[in-house]
Amino acid sequence: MAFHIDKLEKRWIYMVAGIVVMAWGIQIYYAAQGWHPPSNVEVIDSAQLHLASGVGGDEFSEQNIGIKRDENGMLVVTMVAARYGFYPQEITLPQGEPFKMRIASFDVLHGIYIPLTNLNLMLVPGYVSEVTTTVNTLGDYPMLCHDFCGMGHAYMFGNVKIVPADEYKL
Amino acid sequence: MTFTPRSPLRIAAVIVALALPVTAQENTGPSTNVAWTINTLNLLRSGDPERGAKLNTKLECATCHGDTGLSTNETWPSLSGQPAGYLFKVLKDYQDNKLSGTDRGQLMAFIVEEMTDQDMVDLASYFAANPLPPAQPVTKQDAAETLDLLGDPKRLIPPCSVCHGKNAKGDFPDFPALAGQSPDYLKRSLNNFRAGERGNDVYSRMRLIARRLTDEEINSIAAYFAAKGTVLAQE
Ligand code: HEC
Ligand code: HEC
Ligand SMILES: [Cu+2]
Repeated sequence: MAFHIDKLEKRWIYMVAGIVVMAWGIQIYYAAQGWHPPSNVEVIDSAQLHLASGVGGDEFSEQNIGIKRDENGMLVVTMVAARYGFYPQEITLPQGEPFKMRIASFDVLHGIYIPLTNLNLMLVPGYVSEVTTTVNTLGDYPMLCHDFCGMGHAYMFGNVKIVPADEYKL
Repeated sequence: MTFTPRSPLRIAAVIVALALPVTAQENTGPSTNVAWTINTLNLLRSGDPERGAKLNTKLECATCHGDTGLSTNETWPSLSGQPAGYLFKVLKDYQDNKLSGTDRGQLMAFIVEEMTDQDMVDLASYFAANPLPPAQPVTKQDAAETLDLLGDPKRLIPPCSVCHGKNAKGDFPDFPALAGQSPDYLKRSLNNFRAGERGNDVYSRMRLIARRLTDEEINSIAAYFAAKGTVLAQE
């Protein structure tokens, strides 16, 4: 008996094969250009985040976390996510001024999300996550962890206060 | 001056050290030099509990912390059943003078001064292999139970249990067990964290919490966790 494949089945097989080839095509195209998510790839030794000895140095050591201005006058927020909190736990930022968030995990996978803003990062141990954004609406916002990180995940949050730019003091 | 093992002279010396006025050692730099790298984890894995048991006698830890790590009084901490990672970290912190902000911390710093890393992991693995301290009778502690199981989101306090483990039995790598711990020691540690006299917790994780606790809560916590050993002993 000849091996029979129905016309309709054949059509579906071609469609699936087409999708697989397209997905490969997209992967190869972007890989060849050296693209990778997220926008910033920078490695750091998460286990030694608090020391100067690890890869990536002491940018995230206890003395260096917090808000500073860099040499271009840009506000830089340096933060650490550790089971179970963001450190510093409470930060204040000016309304309408762009700031750069640089944040790394001290232990396991975490995330950071500030609702009603577009600040949303995945914090993979071993990498620095960075995003530049602006918050235009005054108010108190939470910072939430959105990647399950352990028993305290649901309790992992901090506070962000957005104040008028002319009242902002560093 | 040399000390022979178990010499009464040495014990006298440490007790005198306890009574001496302190010259606070300035603690600069990071809260701790311990990092949970592969090397540290391998060192921890190499811990030899049998050698640890011998060191406990030889170095006279047993005089204060007991033969199996059960404290000989209500004031000094029990070590029995603590996670090995925490024991190693805290011994290292004593040696690096990270806990020299209190006179008791200075006493321990003096005791561990000449210990090698291997001694520390051997002792740690010995105490970690022993069970948590046994029962103590207690009245119900509502304030502490709420903090342990629910924390207080308004004050940014996560539940104690998420870090210190279910039934406060500690967690990997360096979250200490609180169950069955000496009540005075629990109270003192929290007060020391609050006052900043103890600062070996990386990123101030315990200091930030302790600063937001009231005196009543600290008393309740001490009674609650000291009795927690009961729950475990019955299981
Ligand atoms: C003279 C009594 C004494 C002796 C001897 C002694 N300790 Fe201690 N130990 C203490 C006291 C008191 C503390 C609490 C210190 C503090 O409050 O910071 C302590 C704390 C500790 C802690 C920290 C406990 C915790 O939960 O954080 C460890 C670990 C420890 N000792 C291990 C040892 C080892 C190992 C030895 C032997 C080499 C030893 N001790 C010898 C009195 C003693
Ligand atoms: C974010 C995690 C976290 C939470 C939540 C937390 N702790 Fe801790 N706690 C730690 C860490 C980490 C240490 C060890 C610090 C060090 O390395 O010495 C510690 C140490 C302690 C110690 C000292 C133990 C010892 O043997 O020396 C006490 C007491 C303590 N915590 C009580 C509490 C209480 C009570 C709560 C709840 C109100 C609580 N902790 C909540 C992380 C936490
Ligand atoms: Cu998290």
